[in-house]
Amino acid sequence: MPEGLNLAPGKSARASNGLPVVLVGPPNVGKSTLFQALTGVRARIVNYPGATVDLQEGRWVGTGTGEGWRVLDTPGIVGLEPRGADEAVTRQILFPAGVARNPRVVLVLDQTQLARHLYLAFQLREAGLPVVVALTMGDLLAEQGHEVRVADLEASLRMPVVRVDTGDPKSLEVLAEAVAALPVVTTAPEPPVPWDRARVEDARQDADALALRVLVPVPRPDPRVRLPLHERLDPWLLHPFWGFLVFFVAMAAVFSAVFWVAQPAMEVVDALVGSAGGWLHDRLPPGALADFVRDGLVAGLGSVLMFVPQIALLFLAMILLEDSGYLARAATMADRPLSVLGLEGRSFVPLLSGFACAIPAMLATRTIPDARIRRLTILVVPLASCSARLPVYALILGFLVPADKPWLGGVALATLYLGGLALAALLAWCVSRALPADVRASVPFVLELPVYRRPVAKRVIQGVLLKVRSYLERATLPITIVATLLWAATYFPVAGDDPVLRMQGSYAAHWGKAIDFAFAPLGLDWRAGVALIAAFAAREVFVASLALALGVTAVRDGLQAGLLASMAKATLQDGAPMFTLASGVALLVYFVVAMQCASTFVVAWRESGSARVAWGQLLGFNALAYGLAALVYRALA
Amino acid sequence: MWSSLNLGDEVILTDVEGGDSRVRHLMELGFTRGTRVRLLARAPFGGPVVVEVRGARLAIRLSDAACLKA
Repeated sequence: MPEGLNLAPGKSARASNGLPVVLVGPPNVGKSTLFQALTGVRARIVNYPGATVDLQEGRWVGTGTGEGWRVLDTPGIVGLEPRGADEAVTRQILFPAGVARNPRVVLVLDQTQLARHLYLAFQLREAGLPVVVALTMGDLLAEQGHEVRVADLEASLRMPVVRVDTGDPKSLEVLAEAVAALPVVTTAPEPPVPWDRARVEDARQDADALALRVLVPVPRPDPRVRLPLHERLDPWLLHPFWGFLVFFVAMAAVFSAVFWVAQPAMEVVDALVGSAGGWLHDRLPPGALADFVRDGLVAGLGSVLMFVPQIALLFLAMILLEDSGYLARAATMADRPLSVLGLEGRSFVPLLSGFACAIPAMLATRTIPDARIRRLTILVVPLASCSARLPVYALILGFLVPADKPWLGGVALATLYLGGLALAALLAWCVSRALPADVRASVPFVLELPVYRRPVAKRVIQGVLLKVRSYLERATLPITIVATLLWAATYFPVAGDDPVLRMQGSYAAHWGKAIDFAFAPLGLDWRAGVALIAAFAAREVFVASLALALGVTAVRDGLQAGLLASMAKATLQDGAPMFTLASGVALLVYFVVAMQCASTFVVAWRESGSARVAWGQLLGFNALAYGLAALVYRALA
Repeated sequence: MWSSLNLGDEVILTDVEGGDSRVRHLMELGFTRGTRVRLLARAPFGGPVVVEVRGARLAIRLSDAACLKA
């Protein structure tokens, strides 16, 4: 698990006055790129107490002080008055409560956006913070035929200004020297009061004037006058036809990566975990301990590792889209329909990924800056039918659909997927309507469309590794614990080698029998119930667990055929068949709606930072699933 | 106003209207009186408009764009 962020003075007080050096800047100025260049692979993701923002902390070495400084990357801000929970975190880091010092600040500004971004420099200066200004995107400014006169800018701002180029270590050393030379501020400046309209307008005019003064033309390397790429591309990429075509292709690529390309890698992980478990099992004395190691502990770890290929591929695709500049355009395209539901354009990729797996999808919501919208997106993601439901759908549809009408299965399957999506939309709409109107509308929704750039391989790979590592740090322990508990529930207390007897005599079966009455409204009994309980480890476990509960073991024709035959024969206590059209459809409805995945529960809690979201999904979606399934059964039986 | 502009058209803002917090945020983003704003693209189906303001390209929803008067 990641350590919490430490704002208290640390041991390295000599080097950094105990507080980290903080990177601050507007969105899209290359702050994270600079952070990566300063810290390399030594970064990790830390939690700000009480918030779920991704904060990266690393160690800035090469500063000539031996151990280097702690350095912290913060959520992008436009001004010091926060527009949402994430920006509030930046403000709290700049003005830490109860600490009589302010952190030293590297203010990262995009030189091509100087007129807009100098505004933040004015605000920081007024607040009295020790600031070094780092100017990025110098190459782009040169392409545009301009250069910044650094000395003039320094004199006007009364702050040291350094041009940085992440590809040039010399410039980073200069930045380090400038930070080292900052005076130590020992008074504790208060967070400034928000500026009123007149003040904002004045500062804006000053920023315009200053930018105009310090920007000087330089000879262009390429004298041909050409419209910048974005001016030529954007009307096409946002076009009602061509825009959608590109959008569709890009999103299809993202989805295929997570849904199909990840499959072989997941099978490899599965096989490796299986053989590792088997290897350990054979080296331990036969019995509960050996079974626990193989089926509880190692399988539990496996259910953590299982998601790594999908997470890595989704973030590979997302970082490529983001760094190239397209993701912001795609979000612009998708914004209108999602805004009606109280979501926004950046909710699209997470929702789409949810159809492969809710876990990478929830991790992907971190691109949504507004904490409220991020939570709402996380809340509805599990209603997208993930790939783990597919084996269950296949089994039940295989049972229900007559062999001479295979097309019916396709129609039914499409209905299940659309049903989940419709429910997600309805839920998002209802929840967002429940919020007071002034909360919804006080802050404008703005997406900055960055310049198109070619993604840098090293940065992309580092980004993917960081995401995977952060997931493993956060999720491994809780997922393994829950998976192990579920294993124990289906394993104990019966001794012996027969898996069918074990399952049928297990605690889970006892609990299933104890609440046998609860399955009657769905036309099922405890055997389906115990499979539903076991499915909390992972939905696809339902199939194997149902087989055990019905007494099917390895069959020559394969598990599926044997299971279908047993399902056809299974009867309720009164002798009526258990699996009918009514109970089958009820089960399908249950699986579409229910949140029955322990790993998703863990990740939802971690990512939303809200116990209410996680428990709401677990209790609310399951209750709704149960109610809808019972209604469907009543209607069809 | 935004629906009647053609792509590439430029306007000069005369006022920013709306609730206090929204107006200040829009101003912080660079939409102040006297600023040149150019319409670059429109997302389909009443989606956000993409405008150029002070050298930046911002996509803003029509409901926010309606606060910007020219």
